[in-house]
Amino acid sequence: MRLNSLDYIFFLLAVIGPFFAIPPRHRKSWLLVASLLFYMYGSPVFVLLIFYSTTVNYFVGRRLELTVAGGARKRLMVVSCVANLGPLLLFKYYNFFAVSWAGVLHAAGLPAQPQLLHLVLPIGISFYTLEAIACTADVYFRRSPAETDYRKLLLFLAFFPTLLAGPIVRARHLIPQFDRTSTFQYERVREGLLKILWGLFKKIVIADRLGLYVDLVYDRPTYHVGSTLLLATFFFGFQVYCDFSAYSDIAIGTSQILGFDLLRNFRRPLFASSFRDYWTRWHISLSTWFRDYVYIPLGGNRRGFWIANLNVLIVFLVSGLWHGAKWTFVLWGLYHGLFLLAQNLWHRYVPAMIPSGPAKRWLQVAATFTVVGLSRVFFRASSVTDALYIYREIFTHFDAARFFPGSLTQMAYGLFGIGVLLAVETFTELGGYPTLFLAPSKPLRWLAYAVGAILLLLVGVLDGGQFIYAQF
Amino acid sequence: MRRLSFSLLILLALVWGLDRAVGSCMQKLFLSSTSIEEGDVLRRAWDYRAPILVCGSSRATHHYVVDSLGSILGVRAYNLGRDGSYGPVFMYGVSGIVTRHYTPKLWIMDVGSAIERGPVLTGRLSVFLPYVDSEPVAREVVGLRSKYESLRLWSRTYRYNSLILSLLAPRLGKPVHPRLGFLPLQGTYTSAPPAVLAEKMRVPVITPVPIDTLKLRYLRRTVDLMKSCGTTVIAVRSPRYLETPAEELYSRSEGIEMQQLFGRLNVRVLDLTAIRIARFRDPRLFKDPAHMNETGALIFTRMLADSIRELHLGS
Repeated sequence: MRLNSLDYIFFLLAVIGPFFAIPPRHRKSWLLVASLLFYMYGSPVFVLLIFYSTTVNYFVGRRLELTVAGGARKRLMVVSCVANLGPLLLFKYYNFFAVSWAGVLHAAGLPAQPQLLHLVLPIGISFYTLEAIACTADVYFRRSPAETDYRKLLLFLAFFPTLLAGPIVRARHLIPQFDRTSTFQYERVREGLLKILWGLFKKIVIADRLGLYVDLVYDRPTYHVGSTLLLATFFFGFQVYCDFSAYSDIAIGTSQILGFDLLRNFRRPLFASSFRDYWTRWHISLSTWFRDYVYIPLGGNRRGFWIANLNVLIVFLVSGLWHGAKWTFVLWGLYHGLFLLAQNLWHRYVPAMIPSGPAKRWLQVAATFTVVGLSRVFFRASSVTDALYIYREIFTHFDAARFFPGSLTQMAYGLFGIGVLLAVETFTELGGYPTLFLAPSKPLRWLAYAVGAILLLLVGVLDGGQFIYAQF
Repeated sequence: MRRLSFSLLILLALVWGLDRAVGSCMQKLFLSSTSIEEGDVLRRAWDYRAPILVCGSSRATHHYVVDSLGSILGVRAYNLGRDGSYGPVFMYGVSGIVTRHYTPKLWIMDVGSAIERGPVLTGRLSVFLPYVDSEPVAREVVGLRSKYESLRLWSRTYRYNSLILSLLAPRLGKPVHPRLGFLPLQGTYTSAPPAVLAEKMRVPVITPVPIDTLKLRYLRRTVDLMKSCGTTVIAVRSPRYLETPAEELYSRSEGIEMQQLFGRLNVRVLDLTAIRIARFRDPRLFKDPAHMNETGALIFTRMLADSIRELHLGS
């Protein structure tokens, strides 16, 4: 079920009403049933994977808590990782590794015929697998006790707002909230609804509109010159940001209505002033997950500058692969890792030449925006060949005279969407309230709600597809 | 809860009022428009009452120079092609609406791109939204977009979704398109670089995906509807630039498939692709591998006109 569909709106109404009407002790069960039904809406059989993951982590977590010996604890953690990553490797990465290995054999002159599996990727598996691993790892690192209530653990992994595309929630943050008796609070519900409305606006009016042009260009990159490809790449940057942050907003808004607080997933990444800053603003739940469960266990920055940078590179390569089972994603991760490494080297060896100030900051913002934007060629291109072709065209065959604008009206809608987004984000970055929906003046607020709703109908792409990250 | 219900009621009332107001303004703009704009193509076609109509997607829009076709054949022709992937469901909607207003003599379907594989792109059917209140076929076709379409149609604004700029632009001085639905493309195609060509070489020769059954059903309905009105129907395969042997093989097999498909529907297929016409192997006639530029389109249109004349279809 897509969070930008009317199905979801009806589903939400059907969940919220009874949730507040029934006694608090039954709410967990109600939410659990709703979450499982939500997941089963698309392909019911994959719900078994969530039960499998819950069962593994429930028993391993409880066993970990009872185990004192370091070696035994480590073995249990390995068992948990293998058990959690097994389905992910099978469903998402098996074909990728099989084809890549066959390519290696072929290059070595050996016969290779990869046996491919024709499996459908269970939706949300990349997200709940990370949540499940973190859940057991927290017990292993003694950050939190093991969950003793199977039902709560199941609800944590199946929690419907975050199930398909995050934010990647930590058990120690969400599970205690299941025991909280939340009452219906007008302000909370209002804020939640407004987050959902803003999320829908970003998805339907901005992301899906830009996606029309991006798809047109990226589906056949060889038809286009560098100037067109560059614009499509930057449009894709806005598209993926609006698309993913929209999902997060809807998920966070939904949770808020139900009385649960989720951590924010984005903090205006368009205004990042460096790569390091970017990763504290973009997909925060993923970058902190990799920090806590990959970077720090690898040694973090405790073993010196070079090992720390090697760890960073490893984290980004794994993060790239997490996004998708394609070499383009690996290269995307490598691109980010190398730029972060370059930035670290720069800060270490090159003294600051420009004095700090607003001018320097905006220069850094522009540079980060450009370099991050260009990385998205790898993220969006269908193949490495296409990506390399696009980079070559952008840098060697710009040819502005042969720029392809597509439909001029589509372009204008896209630019309108970007304008609205930039205005809102700039205003918030400079200390204003986030969106007109939260404006202090009541008439302005109400007008913003109504205009927002009308804009969805007037210029929204109401047949847009699934969220980009829900496909990972 | 009471406060929220009250607020939501006020908001709904506000949105409803604004929706009616915006919807009425959009309707006025739409009905008073005087140029060929997105969404307004159909009304212009039945006002023009051309005996020859061309239908299809972007390759129809850019390949059929209908003013030339009309002057060669001595009858008016109009191009109902639309940029994007518009297939048989779109053709059915168009034929259903047009035939309610008059009966064309010749219905030309650009096929190949029109019978694209894969599911129907229902989003494209939004072109019929402004007609849902007056044309039963439009409502039927729009209904395929979503199971909630009737709910969406409660909104008056939704009928004009994505049309505001198209309707306002001509009033703000955007030049009116003069070519009866034909959109010429400028520029010539430069061949893809070797690495990309090598990738293309690896493309399987025949796509194993069968044509969507819904598309086939609507294709048959279109043909039946036009024939029942006494209109002659032909399917035309217009050229693509074939870059690799794999593409050439694919085009050949697709040609055979189209002959079989339209043979079953008793529709004549005119194959004017590079497989049959060596002249269309010249990249200078193309804007990109799928679309001809204006020079190519003119040559193609003349060949089409000759074929129509030879077969006595346009009379």
